[in-house]
Amino acid sequence: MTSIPMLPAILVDMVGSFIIIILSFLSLRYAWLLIRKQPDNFLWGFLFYFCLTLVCFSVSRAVGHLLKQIFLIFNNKDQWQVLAPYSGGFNTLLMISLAAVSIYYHKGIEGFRAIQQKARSLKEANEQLEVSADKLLRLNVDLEGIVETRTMKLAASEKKFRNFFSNSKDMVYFCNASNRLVNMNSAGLDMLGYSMEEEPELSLHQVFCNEEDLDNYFETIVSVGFVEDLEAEFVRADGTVIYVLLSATALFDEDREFVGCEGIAKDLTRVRTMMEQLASSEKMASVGQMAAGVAHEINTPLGVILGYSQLMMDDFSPESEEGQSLQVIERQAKACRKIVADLLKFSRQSESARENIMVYEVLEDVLAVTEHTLSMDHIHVHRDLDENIPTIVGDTEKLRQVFVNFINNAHHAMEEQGSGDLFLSCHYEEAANQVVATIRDTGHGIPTEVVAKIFDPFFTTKSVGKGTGLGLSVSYGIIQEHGGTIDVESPAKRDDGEPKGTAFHVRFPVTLRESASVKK
Amino acid sequence: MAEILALDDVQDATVLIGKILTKKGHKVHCFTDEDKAIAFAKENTVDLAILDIKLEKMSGVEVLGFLKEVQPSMKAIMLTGYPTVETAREAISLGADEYCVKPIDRDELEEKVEKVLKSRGTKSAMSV
Amino acid sequence: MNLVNSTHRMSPFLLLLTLTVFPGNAWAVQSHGAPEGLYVHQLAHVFFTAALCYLIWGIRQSAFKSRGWRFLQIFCVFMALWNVVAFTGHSLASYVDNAHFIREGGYLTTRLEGPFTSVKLLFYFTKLDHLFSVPALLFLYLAMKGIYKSSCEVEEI
Repeated sequence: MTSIPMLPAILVDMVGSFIIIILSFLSLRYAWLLIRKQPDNFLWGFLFYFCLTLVCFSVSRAVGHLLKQIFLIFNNKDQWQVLAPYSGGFNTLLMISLAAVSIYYHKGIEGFRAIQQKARSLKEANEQLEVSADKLLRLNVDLEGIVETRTMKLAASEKKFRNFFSNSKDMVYFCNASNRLVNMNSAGLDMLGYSMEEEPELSLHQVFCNEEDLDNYFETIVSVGFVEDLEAEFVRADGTVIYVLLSATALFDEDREFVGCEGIAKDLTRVRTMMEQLASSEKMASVGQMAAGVAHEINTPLGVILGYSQLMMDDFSPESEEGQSLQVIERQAKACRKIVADLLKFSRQSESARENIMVYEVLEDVLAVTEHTLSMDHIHVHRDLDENIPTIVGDTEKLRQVFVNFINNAHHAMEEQGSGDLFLSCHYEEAANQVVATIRDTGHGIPTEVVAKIFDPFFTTKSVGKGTGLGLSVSYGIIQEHGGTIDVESPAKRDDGEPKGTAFHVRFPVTLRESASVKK
Repeated sequence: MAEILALDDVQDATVLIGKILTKKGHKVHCFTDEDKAIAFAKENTVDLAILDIKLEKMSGVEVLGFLKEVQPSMKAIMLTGYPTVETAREAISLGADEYCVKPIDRDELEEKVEKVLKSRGTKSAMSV
Repeated sequence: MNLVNSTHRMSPFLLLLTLTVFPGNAWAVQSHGAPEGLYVHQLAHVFFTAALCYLIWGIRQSAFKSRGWRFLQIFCVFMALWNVVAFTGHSLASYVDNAHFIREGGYLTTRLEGPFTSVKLLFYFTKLDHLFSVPALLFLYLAMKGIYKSSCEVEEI
């Protein structure tokens, strides 16, 4: 082969240039798509500029080559000569630019990567923060819920205990280290006779009646830590004294310092009264027993005295001195007999009749017997006897005895005055289901200090020999047997004028009718 | 004129009864001891026994029982300082004819004794 | 990198360009003799090649996983080779003048006359430089396509 045709080379050149132009534009298109998608991405930016510059270079070179070949084909060598430097120059320029762009890649990508890394870690941190914030928010909401529940529970508990404190019928109190009462429930204030609105500032010194009690309380509570079932006397607002049973505990703070005490006090007054009554009734019972015993014993010697004096009276004439003396002896012996008989009546656990009684009938009976003597002493009897009352069950004879006793007492109370009024009434109280009989006089009344004692056996304000002091005791016992009560009112209220005299109100419970008289 | 037995743990009381009834013409035997009284009744005729209920060793009612065993036709008057329906009933059921409350009134006692003695053979109504 | 920046960078070249547009008025600051154009061109080739090598190395350093980046590397290789070919061709052009060509008909019938030295053969070969540049551009196209496709699926970088 002597020569190689240039035609293949020329063709390759021309076709190749053409392909290059197309390919470069296609590449640029993708680069453009990328950068459109993510304008911030350095990589796409780099690729875009790289492709752009490459496109320029490729186009420049390809166009140059194409033009060269075309000119040479059409024998325009001179024109090509003019153009050639420009083409070459552009190519050079663009190659350098392309190279320059490429150089930016490494550092650029490094920087970009670093930023990306930082951005990512920031994003992660942000995400974590968000998660934490979310958790915190939920916790907060939960917390609110928890707090609410706890508060509700606390409120309920507080309410429960506060209610218990307020509702307790015993006194519940708190006091501070200087024995000032800081809290007291309404029952306590009631007990001490203060009202809720007053909100009195009290200290234990004012409440305790006796200084020693308070000292004792305080010492015990500080040393032992509590005091249990201490009996003490408290003084009320109006000065009256009540008996209380006290239990209290000392309160200490974290430093074991005494900061106050809390306690409850139970009003024992009623209990004590009951116990005193019980004691007194036991006393009375034993007195009764003793009385019975004594009476028995006395009866015999009494009988002997009486008998002998009677015997001796046979031997003397009634007018003689001896006879007179013996009569005195007989009389006094008989008086003793009466006393003993009364005493025995009082002490007797005797049988009672049970009959259906109309109270007004009993009163009428009694008046029938006593009225005469009453009018003799200018005592006017006023009747207010309601016949439409239910029957009560009891012993007629004994009730007569009771009313006679009352009338006699009334009579004696009005004796000195020379005249007076006696009011007898009986009617039915529906609300209490009781029949009430009242005996009221306008006599001298019963002094306050004596009123409590009138039912005591052997208690009498009458002079010696005039009364045994057993009348009201026996009456009281009889009424009790009947299930009733006696109330004393002295001075007695009356419709006309100032209260004067005494009134006895006897109340009988109304029970079912007895079918027949039954002996107990 | 009757044979009367008087029993009371207090000497003076039984002697008093003796004196009162002797004045009325009866023969009275006074005792303070229950056993001695019972022993006497076993040996002798007694028309009427006047017994205190409250005695030292036993009750007068029990003594009445013993005496009645020995002398069923014997009359009896019970004395008591404390009359209750129970003791009265018991006394009647054992054969007492009368009942007297201490302290004894002389007249009352004389009356009752007459009444009881008159009613020999028949039981008289009790009056307390 | 934005257009402003690249324009900024290119400004000295632009300046040079404006100066060369008007060849008639040769206000050269310094006299640039005839071979200067060729030397600059050759230096540009060298510079370009070096830049391409740096780029390959950079790409490998950044360790992209997608196929596109592989293609880009291949593009760089081919482009570098083309640079070498073009550089050689320009150098050899001085050794092959018009005397070595026979033209019987038009331009298209031009033939390279023998005897064929290695230089002449090499010269002929360098004329076929498109055999390198076309594949290079092809791989570039594939690279761009690949990169674009993979960016659509998942976030690169």
